[in-house]
Amino acid sequence: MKRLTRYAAIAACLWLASGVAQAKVDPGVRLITAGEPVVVAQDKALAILRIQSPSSMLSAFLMRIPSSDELSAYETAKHVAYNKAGKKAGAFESFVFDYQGVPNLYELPVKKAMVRGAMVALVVAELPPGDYILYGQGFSSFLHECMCFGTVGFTLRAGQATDLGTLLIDKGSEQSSIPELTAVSGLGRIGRMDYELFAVGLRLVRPGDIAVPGLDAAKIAPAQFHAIGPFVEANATLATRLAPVAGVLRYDGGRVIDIASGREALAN
Amino acid sequence: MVVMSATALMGACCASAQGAPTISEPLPDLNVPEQQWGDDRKYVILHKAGVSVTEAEADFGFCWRFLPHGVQRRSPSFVPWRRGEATRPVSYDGGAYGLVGAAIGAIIQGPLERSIRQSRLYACMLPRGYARYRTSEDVWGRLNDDENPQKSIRLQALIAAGPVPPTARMEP
Repeated sequence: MKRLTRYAAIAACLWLASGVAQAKVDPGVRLITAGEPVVVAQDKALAILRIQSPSSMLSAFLMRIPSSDELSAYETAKHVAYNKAGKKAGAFESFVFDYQGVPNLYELPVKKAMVRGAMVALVVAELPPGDYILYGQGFSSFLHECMCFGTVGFTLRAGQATDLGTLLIDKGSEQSSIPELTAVSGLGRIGRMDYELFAVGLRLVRPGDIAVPGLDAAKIAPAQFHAIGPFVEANATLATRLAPVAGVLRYDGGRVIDIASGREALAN
Repeated sequence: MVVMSATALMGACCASAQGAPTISEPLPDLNVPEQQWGDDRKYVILHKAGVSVTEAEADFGFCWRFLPHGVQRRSPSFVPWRRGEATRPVSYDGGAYGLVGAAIGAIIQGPLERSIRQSRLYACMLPRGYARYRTSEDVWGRLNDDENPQKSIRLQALIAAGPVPPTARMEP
């Protein structure tokens, strides 16, 4: 997939040109490798996600909703950095800095799957428990597109394995043969300008899906999803929305509807 | 170039334009000759049959929030959810690649930025029922003034709620 390789190179060049230093922080996520015994630690959550994609370079991005303490720590660090920067800092609202605190954005890459099938990769990740959002899609640690116009949220509980189903990714410019992606693919040339817009969907876990080797299926709970309304994420290249998810997420024009409650998931 | 005032366009439009704010900025002539049409992926105007100016202005206003973009976020990192994080500006100065990098950056900056911007706009507006109609780069530029987003939103809302544009419609 030469085009994708080029995107990654462009992204890396622009990122390097920006002078941003990648923080050396605990990634917060541990990906379970092939052959490794799967143990659900009591203070961690285990997320199981299959990814069906046209390239092994692609990744899912999950965002853990930060606690008020984490947000306060971030705000404090920003004030400290702002004051340290002095007059050159400009306006506080537009001030950017490299936060070294506990991360809450995690990449689940196909390349680091525990199991690689012909079409689908099985990624198993140990994560901090909490409330999560299926935040976006990317590659090589870069967030390429956010699900800014509608997505799903779910909870990962400590000491529990949670099955998130299968993330479906295909080229947005072409009409996808994956039924769940019908509504978000076939964009033609506007889905393939300088950057490829990927169509992204989610299929809930179903019998016959790739299982986690060595983990008792009875100990795995299917994720309980709900709709998440629009959110602004400027620090991604593109913005899109997750395809409708049966029983969970639908759209009424631009409105995001949580099917279970029948209510609109409002903008964040 | 022949221009039609915003007020005149509203009058020529329909009841949907009633209640729209009065503005003095002239609207560009949308009857752009085919040979002047720009890249159909980027240089378009949006229109929605039956929408009011007020509704269109609300739609454009909502979607405009999503147009700014910065350097891609990396994992692992921290997302200050719902706190509104500053956009990290993208640099096209070539970084460590010196003058060559700067020259290449200057060439690719405009096209890259416009395609990203339009992709984000389409992702927000097309599901709301708006359709794309071709126009020239010049007209597009006059309707997309980053220094004055309120004006851009108002003008585009007037066009979206006005008569069906005379140029070719693009799908999607």
